[in-house]
Amino acid sequence: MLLILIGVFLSGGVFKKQWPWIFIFSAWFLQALYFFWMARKRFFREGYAVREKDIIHTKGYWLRTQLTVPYNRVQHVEIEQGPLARAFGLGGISVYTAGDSGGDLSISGIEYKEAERIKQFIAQKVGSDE
Amino acid sequence: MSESSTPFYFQPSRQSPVAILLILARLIRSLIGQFWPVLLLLLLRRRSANSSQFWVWVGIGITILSVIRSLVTYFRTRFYIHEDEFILEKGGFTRRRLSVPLDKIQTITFQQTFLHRLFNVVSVEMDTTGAKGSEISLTALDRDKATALREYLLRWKKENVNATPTDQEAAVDIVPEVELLKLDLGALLRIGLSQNHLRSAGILFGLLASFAREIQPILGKSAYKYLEEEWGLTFNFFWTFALWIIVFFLLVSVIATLALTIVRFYNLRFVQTGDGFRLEAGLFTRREQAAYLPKIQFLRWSANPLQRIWGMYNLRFYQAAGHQLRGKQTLQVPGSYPHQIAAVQAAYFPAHDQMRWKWYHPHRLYFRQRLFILGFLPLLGLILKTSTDFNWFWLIITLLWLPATAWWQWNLLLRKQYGLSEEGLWVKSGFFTQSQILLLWSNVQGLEVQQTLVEKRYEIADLTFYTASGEVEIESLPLSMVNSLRDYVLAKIEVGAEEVEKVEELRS
Repeated sequence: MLLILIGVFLSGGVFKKQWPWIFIFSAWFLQALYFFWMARKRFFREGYAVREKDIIHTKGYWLRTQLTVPYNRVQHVEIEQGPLARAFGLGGISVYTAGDSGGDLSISGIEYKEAERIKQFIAQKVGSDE
Repeated sequence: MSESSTPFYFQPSRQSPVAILLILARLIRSLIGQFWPVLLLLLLRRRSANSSQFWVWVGIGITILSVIRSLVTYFRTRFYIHEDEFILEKGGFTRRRLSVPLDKIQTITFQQTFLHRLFNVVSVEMDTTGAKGSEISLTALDRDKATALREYLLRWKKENVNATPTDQEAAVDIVPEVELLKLDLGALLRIGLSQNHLRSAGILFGLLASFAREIQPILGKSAYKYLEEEWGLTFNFFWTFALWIIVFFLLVSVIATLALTIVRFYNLRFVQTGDGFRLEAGLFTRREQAAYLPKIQFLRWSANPLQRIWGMYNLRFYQAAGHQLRGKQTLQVPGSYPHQIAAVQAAYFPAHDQMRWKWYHPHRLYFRQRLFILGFLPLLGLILKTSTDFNWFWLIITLLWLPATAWWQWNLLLRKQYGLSEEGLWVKSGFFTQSQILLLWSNVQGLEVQQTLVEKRYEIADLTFYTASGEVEIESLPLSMVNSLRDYVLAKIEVGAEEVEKVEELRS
């Protein structure tokens, strides 16, 4: 991020005057700071619990939400892993319920093995229900 | 088979011969749809005798080909039920055979266009769970046959899904259908009149206003100036003119919605069947929609002031559906009277009126938050507007804005009620348009507790219930209550399944 900032500074000079640049960059910088700060805040707010009969996912800073999905309403479970996440051995898990409902739960940025474990657990629970 | 003559659906059978005509009509329509520019060109072109003859031959050739094509399609499409699978054979040159297990068939929809009704046939569509392209559709089938087929499929589902292989056949006699509602023209007119005309007039007006801005460059001045200068309208006259315009738009939108309502809901029949409800309506295209009780997720009925005077409600069923059919599956019955609503409630939520309901109001924060967003924020803008360019009209609006929104929102708060019982949720809300929702806990798919920062300070939270067909939200209740309600509903869902499991174990 900082590198890009310096690069743009060096190659800059589109504006004749200096002040618009300062204005733009300070706004940008503030926004970046805000993002980092929020990411941190959100990170500490986020959590999940795999319980005997349901799974809970808590997240959000400004709007705090806690979504609970019982296993006997689960349609299918998916594991995702992007290239960046693969480099760190991370992954995500999504739990889908029926219909077009917004009641789909997805947790990202957990250890891949953990995601697989959760998936196994839920699959076994869902299987035993039927 | 105990019957002496096997029904037609057990042996390979074709559609009604009318299907040939309908397939042809569809083919020609799609051809015209694709090649209309060419046709237009041909019509507009100066024709020489020679080439027009050529085109006539081309036309004849195309017609013959389409006739052959529809004949082939007709004769190669066959369907039958074999070993609990619905089999559809189709395809002109490459033969395709589609087989769908009967228990995967979700809904059966009949549809009639104008042509269908001429020959008393229906098109049949069956929605299946699972992958795309596994939908079965028949272009035309005699009405009696279609009904017989549907009855067979429904009976089959009832017998087999409940997994009771014993001799229940006597018990599953088809329950006679009860006609709940039939709309005559008078009721239709009332429905059309009681739609939200202010909104449609607003939309129309907005469209025209943007159009006026579009033509501004053409006229070379603003539309308002144009009216003033070219038509010699003074300021006062402009306002009377504007009033007339509003009246005109209201009139137009009233007539337009009336016409649309009649086309859509003409000759509406709302029927209670053994396992759900059925709705038939439409002037040109007659639709038949079915709602099966186990698939109904929740009910919602509402009425605006005019509808309340007439005692009418707009009833909606929210049904679970596959992804493709999402929109089709909310079933709307306009002009329902309390008597029909009661019947539907009794079917979806038996004994809901004997249950003890505990009623709760949202916290006052609900009012304050909404007043802030809808009252104070626009007020700032209005003040800015009046102070920069003064105008009596805007001043009056600015002065009235806050009291009006406060009054409105306060009434909303007073009307909003959440009823809780052992089996489900009952929400009453709305001031102008009052609506009610009935939801069974067993239809809940997931629950979400939400809290904004402000709500956190007051220990207040919102709770959203996700169903397989949309969501129901209850807002601004004490956090402790929301939490215990969530736990209760979760327990209800989870224990319910366990009990079923136990029964299943005992049975096997």
